[in-house]
Amino acid sequence: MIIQSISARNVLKYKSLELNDLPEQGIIAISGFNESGKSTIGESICFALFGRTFSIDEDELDKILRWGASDCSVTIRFSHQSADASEPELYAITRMLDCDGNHSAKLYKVYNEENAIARCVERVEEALYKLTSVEFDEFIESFYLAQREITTPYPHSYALKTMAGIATMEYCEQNIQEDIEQDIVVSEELINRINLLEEEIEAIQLDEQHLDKLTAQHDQLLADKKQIDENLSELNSSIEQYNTDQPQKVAYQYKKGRAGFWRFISLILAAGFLGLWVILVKMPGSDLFNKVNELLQTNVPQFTAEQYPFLLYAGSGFALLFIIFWAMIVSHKGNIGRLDEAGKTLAEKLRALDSECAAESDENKDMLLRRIEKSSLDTKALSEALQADLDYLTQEQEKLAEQISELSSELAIERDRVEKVRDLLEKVDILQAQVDDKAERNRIRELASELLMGATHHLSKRFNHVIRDHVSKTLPLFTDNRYEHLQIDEDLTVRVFSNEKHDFMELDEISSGTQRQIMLAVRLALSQEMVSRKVHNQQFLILDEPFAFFDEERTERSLAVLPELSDNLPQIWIIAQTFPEGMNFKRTIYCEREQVEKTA
Amino acid sequence: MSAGEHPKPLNITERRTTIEEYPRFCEEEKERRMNSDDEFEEQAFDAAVELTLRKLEKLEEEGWV
Repeated sequence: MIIQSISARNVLKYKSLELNDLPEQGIIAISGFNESGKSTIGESICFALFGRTFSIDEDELDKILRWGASDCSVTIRFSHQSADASEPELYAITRMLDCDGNHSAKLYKVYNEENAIARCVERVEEALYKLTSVEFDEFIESFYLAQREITTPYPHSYALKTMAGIATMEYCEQNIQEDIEQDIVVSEELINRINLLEEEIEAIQLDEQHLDKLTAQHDQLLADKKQIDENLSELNSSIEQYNTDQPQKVAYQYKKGRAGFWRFISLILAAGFLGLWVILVKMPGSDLFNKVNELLQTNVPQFTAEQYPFLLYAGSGFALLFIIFWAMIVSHKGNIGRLDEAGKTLAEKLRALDSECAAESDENKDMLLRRIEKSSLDTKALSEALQADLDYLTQEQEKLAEQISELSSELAIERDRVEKVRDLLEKVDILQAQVDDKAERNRIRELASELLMGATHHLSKRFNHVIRDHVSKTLPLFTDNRYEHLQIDEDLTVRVFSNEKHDFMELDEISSGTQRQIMLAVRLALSQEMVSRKVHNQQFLILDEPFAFFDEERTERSLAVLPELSDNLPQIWIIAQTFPEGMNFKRTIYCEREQVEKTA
Repeated sequence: MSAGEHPKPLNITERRTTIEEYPRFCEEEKERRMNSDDEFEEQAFDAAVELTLRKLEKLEEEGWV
């Protein structure tokens, strides 16, 4: 951006300021005594471009208005070559302000004013930035060096960081630090919640073994009860079987007795008839025959020899009956033996129970069991004899049921406690996982932050080298060859190499005049770097009283070298009370205190 | 993303510089760390670089121009 003309009305000191046909190259010298309006020219340019000046902020713009004026305006024309244009174009920016705070602006191409590039303050600011890549802060840091500002540049200024290419990195690093802090806060909250949960777990006082013990006890009681249930059931079943079988056995015993009796009778009769038949038929003439025959003739005279075969038939019949009764006895024995099983089983069950009968001694118990075993105890007697056992078992069963019920309640409570602790532990695990995750994320962020700081340091160092190289071209001229090299630290602390002392010196070790000379060199270096890094175009430069502490000879030398500083800084405005005599500038503007209308 | 102490948007030129410079620096740094005697955790390093690049790209997407 090269200024072509300035036209201002009621801006600061001037009622009217008209500077036309300004040279595009070389030095424009503005001189005059204090309060003569020299700096107003630079501030008018600044106000036109950015709507504020170095010394007047946006919220006190009314100070821009000339004393007593109700409104002001300023128009500057400037040339600027866009990246896609073959040659520079002429632009103008007009800004107006009144005492009521109404502020307006317009950016346009000089030969096409009707179709403005942008209107209104905000849009003009955006459009100007888009056009020139320079913002207010960068402008006053790099291209508008007011006298009081020619000191060490503020190392943390945004413009400077932008030039060094570290502003984004620092912002990013700051953002990561915010994320870290945020996660630390969240982690602390999570840890507090974990602590509260752990206190809650502690308060429950859970004995990890207790549930297992209770469960084992419960299982044992259930097993005991099941055993008693089974025993009782089997006992009742056996008693029932006994009560069914015992009367049958008695009946079979009775039948067996009767069958035995008739078998005996049959045997006797069979033997008698068959013996008689043998004597009468097979032994005729024998003494025994004679005696039997005589006995028969005497008692049964009608029984004759023709009826002897009936003796055989009768004997055979009784023999057959004997066999039948014998078979019946065998059968009854079998049934009795089968029915005896119920008694044996019952006796076995009673022995297996191994329980004591409260009413009877061991001896009586054994006798009782033997009687049961033989099924010789009738059902009524059995019922009376076993009542005590059955009562005992029933009581045991009820006792166990009660214990199981109590233990089940205790177990349910303990399970709830265990479940609660488990839930709390799960929550602790989840929260702990979140804490661990955040710790891991923060570890990565710390590394990212470290890398960003490393990159920032790397770029700062490189930037400082570039600035140092720029400075080395101007510093010998400004300091009469006494100082040539600078050492610029990361925080832009400057140390200078003294050719006389052959060592680096701190700035406060040298005179304030020389400090100013060194700082002017640094500032100019920053201007050069700003142009080459960002603007990529020709740019004007305003230096407000840069040589206040220079002697005349050094001022002359500096003025001679400034136009050669950089091809991209061709138009240099220099404001000073006086300039050395005989200097030839491209334009000289002399300001006077009483002059309120200025045309040049 | 809070603007914090950076009320002004970043400009295109610097962003490009940063996005180009940062991975370059990281590559050199990674090589240096891998060849040093210190313990080097490559996975964490790559994750840190990736995290930063994502943030830088997000800045770009947010149109800080």
